[in-house]
Amino acid sequence: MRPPAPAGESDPDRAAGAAAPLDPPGPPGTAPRRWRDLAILLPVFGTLLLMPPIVALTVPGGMLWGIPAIVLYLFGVWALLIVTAALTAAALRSAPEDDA
Amino acid sequence: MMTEAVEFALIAALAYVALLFALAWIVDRRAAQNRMRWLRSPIVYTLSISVYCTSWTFYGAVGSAVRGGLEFVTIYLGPTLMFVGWWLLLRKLVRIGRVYHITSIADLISSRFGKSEVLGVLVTLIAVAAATPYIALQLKAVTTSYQVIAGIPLDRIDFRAGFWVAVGMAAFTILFGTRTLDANERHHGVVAAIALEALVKLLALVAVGVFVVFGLFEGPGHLFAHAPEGYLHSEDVFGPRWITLIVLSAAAVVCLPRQFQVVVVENENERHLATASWLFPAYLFLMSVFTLPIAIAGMTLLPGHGDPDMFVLTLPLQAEAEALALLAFLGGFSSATSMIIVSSIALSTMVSNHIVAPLAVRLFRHRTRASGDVRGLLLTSRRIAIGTLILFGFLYFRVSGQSDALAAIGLIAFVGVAQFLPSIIGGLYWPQANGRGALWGLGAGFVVWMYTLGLPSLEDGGPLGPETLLYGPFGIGVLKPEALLGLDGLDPLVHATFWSLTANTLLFILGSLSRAPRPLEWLQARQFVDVFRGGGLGAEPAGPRFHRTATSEDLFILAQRILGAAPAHDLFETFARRQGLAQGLPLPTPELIEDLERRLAGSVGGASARAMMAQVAGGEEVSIDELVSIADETARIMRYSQALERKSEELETTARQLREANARLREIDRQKDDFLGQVSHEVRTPMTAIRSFSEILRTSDDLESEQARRFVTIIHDESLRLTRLLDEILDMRVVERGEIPINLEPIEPDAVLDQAVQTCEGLRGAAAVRITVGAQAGPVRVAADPDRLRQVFINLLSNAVRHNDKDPVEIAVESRVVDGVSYEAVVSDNGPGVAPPDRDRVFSLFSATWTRAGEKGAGLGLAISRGIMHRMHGDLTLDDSPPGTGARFRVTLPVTTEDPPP
Amino acid sequence: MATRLLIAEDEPSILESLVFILGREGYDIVTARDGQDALDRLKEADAPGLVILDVMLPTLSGFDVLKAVRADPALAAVPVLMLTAKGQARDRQMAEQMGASVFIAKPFSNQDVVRAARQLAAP
Repeated sequence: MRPPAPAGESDPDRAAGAAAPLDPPGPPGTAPRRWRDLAILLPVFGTLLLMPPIVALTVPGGMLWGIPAIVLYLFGVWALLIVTAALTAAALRSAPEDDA
Repeated sequence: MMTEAVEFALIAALAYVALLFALAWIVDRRAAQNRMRWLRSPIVYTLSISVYCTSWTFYGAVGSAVRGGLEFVTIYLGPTLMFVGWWLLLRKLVRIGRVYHITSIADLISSRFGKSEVLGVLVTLIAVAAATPYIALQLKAVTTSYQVIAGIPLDRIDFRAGFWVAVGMAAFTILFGTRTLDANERHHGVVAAIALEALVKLLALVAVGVFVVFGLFEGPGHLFAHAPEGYLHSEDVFGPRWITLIVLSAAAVVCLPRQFQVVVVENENERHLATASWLFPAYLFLMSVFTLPIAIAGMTLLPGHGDPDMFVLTLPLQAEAEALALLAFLGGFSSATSMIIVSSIALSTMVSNHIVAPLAVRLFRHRTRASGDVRGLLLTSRRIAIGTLILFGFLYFRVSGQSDALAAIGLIAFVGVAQFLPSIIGGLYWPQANGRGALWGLGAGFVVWMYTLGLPSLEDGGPLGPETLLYGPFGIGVLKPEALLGLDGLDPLVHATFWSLTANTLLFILGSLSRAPRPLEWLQARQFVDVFRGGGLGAEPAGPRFHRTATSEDLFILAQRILGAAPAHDLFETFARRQGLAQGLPLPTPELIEDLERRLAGSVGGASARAMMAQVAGGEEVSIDELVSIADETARIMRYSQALERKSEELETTARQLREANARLREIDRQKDDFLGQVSHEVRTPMTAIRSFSEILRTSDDLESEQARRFVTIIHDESLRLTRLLDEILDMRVVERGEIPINLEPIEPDAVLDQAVQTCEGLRGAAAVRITVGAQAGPVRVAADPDRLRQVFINLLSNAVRHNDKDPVEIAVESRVVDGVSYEAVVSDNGPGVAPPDRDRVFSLFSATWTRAGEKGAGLGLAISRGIMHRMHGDLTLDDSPPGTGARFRVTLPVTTEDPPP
Repeated sequence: MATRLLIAEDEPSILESLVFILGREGYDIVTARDGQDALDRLKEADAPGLVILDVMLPTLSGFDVLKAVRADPALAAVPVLMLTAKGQARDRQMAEQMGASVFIAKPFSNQDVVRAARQLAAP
């Protein structure tokens, strides 16, 4: 077996380019565990909340500020997913091994 | 008014297109000078992903909301889930795309499954089949919106607008989208234009939404109060179609060629994906948050209003907000054009890399060295492909534009590209998945998709006629395209998705299981599945090296033809420097070949790069065993641990040997101590007597003369004993070192034995000694030193006397010839014998512990005797006899035929 | 009545010299040629005034005899003079631990033996 070449050496063009070659997110097991698990579970939770039967629960839910509850529910879950994903992404991006 | 509007819209559209051209041109110029850093930001990356939102969603979402209530959200929720879950699939896709220079979704699937050319062609065909009507749909949207804003009645479609848009977009794409062959090199001008368009469409839609909610109504509550009775209050929408649409849109945001292009191929930085994971869903959120209000407003304010798909335009027009209408028109125009641009780039790359390049490789097979610029050929083919695809889109629009058939095409395309999903997911996570599975799955999915969805979408069932739709082909009911196997009553889209993806997945798995992966498939599988196990992006992908050879000249020519002269020159110079060469071409090392192939793959796709490299360097020759053992992480670890185990076993063996050697040394050391103690004892004993009696003689004046004589005799005897002891010790050293002089001559051993017996008959201990001479060997000769042999016999006889407590001491001596080759003499006694544990030790040099009652001497005699016998090529052994039956010593010597000396 | 003295020594010439020099002092001497012999003689009669033991004795070593002497209440008080041809410190230590009164290495000076014997038990 040949030892892996030092970073950047395999790709001189990229390494020499204006943008420094990026360090990938660390291999599985090195990112902060909590956030990684959340990143994995987030789409699962999202799917659960957006799929029948749960999604249909608020259909007869009446109005809130004049807006149907189902509309608020859908866009609310959607916004929640976006915010959580933003937090997760920030945590995973600033993980120490990403700056190596 | 009408002409004014027409002219105004036309001028606005032309100005906008001119702006796009100018922007792209300037950005391309400045990017060449490396001055457009902001283009590499995650925001621009996210905006380019928003090419997902085409005019079909820009205009069509409102129409969908009018017809199906909340159903329109699914088209955005699927991508949201996919991006929010970027850590699962997208991250791996992007990593693979960057590490292996993937150029398109066709390249991904083809590369993963053994760089298969067939798969590349199949995926390209499916993508083109799905995208061409989609382009037609964009042209129709542009045309329709143009007619709306220009006030041209919609009952007759004015194809000219569509035509000129098609021409403009083809020109733009060819101009800015085919500057380089390398798909991973970004088209900065295009990216800038797409980003601008993404902002324009978002701005336009949000502006219209805000205008509707707060301009036409008094806020959301007021607006929703005007919703039609029962609108949004049906649970029916959350049925199978809801699930299907979320799944399809989630698949589409990855599998659509243009999405793969912007998400994977043009990704420049994996961290951008982390930003896009929430920013893109946020973009989608903003794009759709005003959809319902616009739909409700349209239904409320535009009774009998015609096409709900155009509410985004007609609402501002109705309210005489012309500027806003124009902005909305430009937003829709942006959606359509950006889709056309990116789609045609992605598709043309696929066509040139997976259809034209393989043909070119075959065509130029015998002219590898002489043929011209393949790079030019491929770029030209891409340009032609772009023109052709957009032309096909326009023709499709021209043919079917009057009907409503186009409206459904968006979702039909989604189902088509969703066929890639099983192969992608299986390819990324299941190492056993192979090319046959992908081919079967994709083929089956493609056929079922065309049959269940494509066919019914054509007017009157296309070539098969309307009867097929109603009653099945040839009247076979179970084969009805919209009710396969009698699965009736489902929404056609759900039905088609279910059957196509089921057949696809099933055959993908069955095909993969039906044969073992080929070596290259196995290698690619490990590299794709384990992409995160390598050293990361900077490191080269781990994997075995194929044994390929090529000349540097051939490689350089190949690199020049594909990469272009300057990049090829740079690459080879870099390699030459790395190899420590001052000038000239680098050595054609496997690293160079591999690196070059990866670079070629970035331009022409993995399969074609491999084929081109094979012409120059020959095919990869590698056995499956080799691959498995090298590429398989588990195997590698196992081998490592086995090596460790072997090493630790070796260490253990060494340690055991050392322990044994140490024990032997200790034993020898102990024997030496014993021996020295014994020698000391043996020396001190006569010394004691000598000292004691000499003191008596010295200090006593009153001794009788007879007594004095006796004491002097004792002193004399003891000093003789001391001398004998020292002689023995010296003898032993001499025998041990082989320094004892031994003169071999043919003698009759029995004669020597007789002499020894006669000498010993005079011996008397406390008891009488009787020596019996039994059978004799007779006149046989051995090669021996007679004096030394006599010494051995006397040693044995005197031992028999000394180590004996019987009275009388009886010794039996006999000799014989064994098998005519060996002389044997046996001396046995009636003494106590030697205990079995001591039988080896009696011959040991340092073991003088074999002492018995009344023993005199150091007990070195047997060791010396055995040494002498060995020097004469004979032996001295002790027979195993039962305890208490006396000792039996056996002397053996080889018989010789030599005559005695005269 | 002269003090009885048991000498256990397997080497005839040494035994002869011991018998001569100690007999001259007036001890009543009994001899033994091996360890077992010495023990038998010790037990068949009254306890002697002094025992001289060679360490390297056949059948029973001098230490074994000493151990038996010290274990026997009737003999425990008898002084024992040990002789050894090995002369190693280990032997001397062992002899002292086991209750030998005096330890003399071979080859000995006659004077030393006589003086020690006199100190342990006058003739």
